[in-house]
Amino acid sequence: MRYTGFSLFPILVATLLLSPVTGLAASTAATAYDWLMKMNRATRELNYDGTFVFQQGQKLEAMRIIHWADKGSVKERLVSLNGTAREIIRDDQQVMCYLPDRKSVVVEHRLARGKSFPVILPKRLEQLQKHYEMQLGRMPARVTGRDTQVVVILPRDSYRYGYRLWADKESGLLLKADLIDQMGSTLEQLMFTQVNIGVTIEPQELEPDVSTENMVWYWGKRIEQGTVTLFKRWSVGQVPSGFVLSNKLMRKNPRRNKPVEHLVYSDGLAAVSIFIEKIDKDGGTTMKGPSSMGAVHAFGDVINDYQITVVGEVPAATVELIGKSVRARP
Amino acid sequence: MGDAEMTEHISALMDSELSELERARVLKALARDRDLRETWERYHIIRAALNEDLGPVSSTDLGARIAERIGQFPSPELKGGVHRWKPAMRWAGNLALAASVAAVAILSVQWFVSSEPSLTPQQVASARLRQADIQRRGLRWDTRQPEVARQLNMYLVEHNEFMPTSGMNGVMSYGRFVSYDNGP
Repeated sequence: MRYTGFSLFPILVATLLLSPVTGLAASTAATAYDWLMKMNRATRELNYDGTFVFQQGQKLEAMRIIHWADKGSVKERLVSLNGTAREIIRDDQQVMCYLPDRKSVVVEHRLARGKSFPVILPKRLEQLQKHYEMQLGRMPARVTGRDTQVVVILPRDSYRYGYRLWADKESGLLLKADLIDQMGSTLEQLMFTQVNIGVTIEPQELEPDVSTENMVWYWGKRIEQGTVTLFKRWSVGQVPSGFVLSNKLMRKNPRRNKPVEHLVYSDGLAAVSIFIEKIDKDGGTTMKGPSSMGAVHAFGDVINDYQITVVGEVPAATVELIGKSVRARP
Repeated sequence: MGDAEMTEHISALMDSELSELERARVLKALARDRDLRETWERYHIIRAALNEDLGPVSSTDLGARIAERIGQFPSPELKGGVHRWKPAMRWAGNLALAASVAAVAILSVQWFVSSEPSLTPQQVASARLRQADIQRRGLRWDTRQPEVARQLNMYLVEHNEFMPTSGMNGVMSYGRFVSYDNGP
């Protein structure tokens, strides 16, 4: 045994993540925030190649990630290691989804220009603290053999999720992440099982393995504002405290080749999208009410021949609250 | 107790094959040895992958669970007992499991048996083609309308772009999409 005489262990574990040391709260939050910044920086500055598992309830998925970064430019390839060999390759300009099971490639141009791999700005800390409590783990924790710093972000209400994050002490790279609810219970978990940080990545490693022969390509794009006037016709009556409109744009739905209005509300950590799209005259499929995929929730409604869909990695109550408050303006 | 012996005991612990005394000893050792705790965690993940039963790893923190269980025996939640732990570990030991075990397990094993020669990405890639039968339930929208699910996925990809913390969260979001289950 390399570690001996540790009868304190159970106590330490008990105080590990969620100990309410309120006197230290402010400085701890600032340090926790520094670690968040460090994690974001690592994503923008480091090359890495690894495999990770994504776990949600009874499901476990394995994926490989190859991540290349240079001077703020990022390209990343994500490959499913179980089930269909799907791939997602994304860079600053576009997201390409290779779906061999659908014989299709879906290309989404990144519309949030310059915000593709965003940094949370320091001025946001104060704002974030209104809705989240940020703490540092005090116990040493290792993930895939590397020493990590644990950062816990707990939501202050039930309209958003929190995170438990394990950042590589040396590089700041996020090695493990738990999506947690207000009680600190894990909803989803992501963890590197093996990772090489700072490796050389050859351009061909960022190319898809799947053959695109006989695949159908679908291209999404932005529709410049001014060509459509739909924006004015809708109002969102209610969003949980802290959520503000952070983006609005008009997209072309790559599958249906129709314009879609896209509004994004965010509290700085969580984001909710509202999509508004005209329903086909010949009676396309509509969605009404809630739907979910793991911790991701959606809520649909139909107003005046328009499909309203709210989607986000937030609790069901949040998308429902927002979804039910969307109104057509007279 | 040597490391190898202790590892064997952890395996036995998961199969409820230890006497009261041995159990107490193993739990104590787990409490004070970080490496052993990681071994325990990896065992759980590997077994979970083999069993499609992720209860044990879905708890908030395995370390805390172990602490909780000191003095309280962990009863492994082996459902149905289809995959016994020990045979599974034997396959893992010689890495001869390409034909029937999930790639997930292989990856975990690769990481677990770090002294063994690693599998090449090509080996992993070929293994994944044969393990589709293992992963029967995937991640999918809880809707009966395939068209709605497809549209929700499309929206999700579009939404992901605007996730503020798109570092690992981005990976989580896109990961959902990559692993989305279109099965029957």
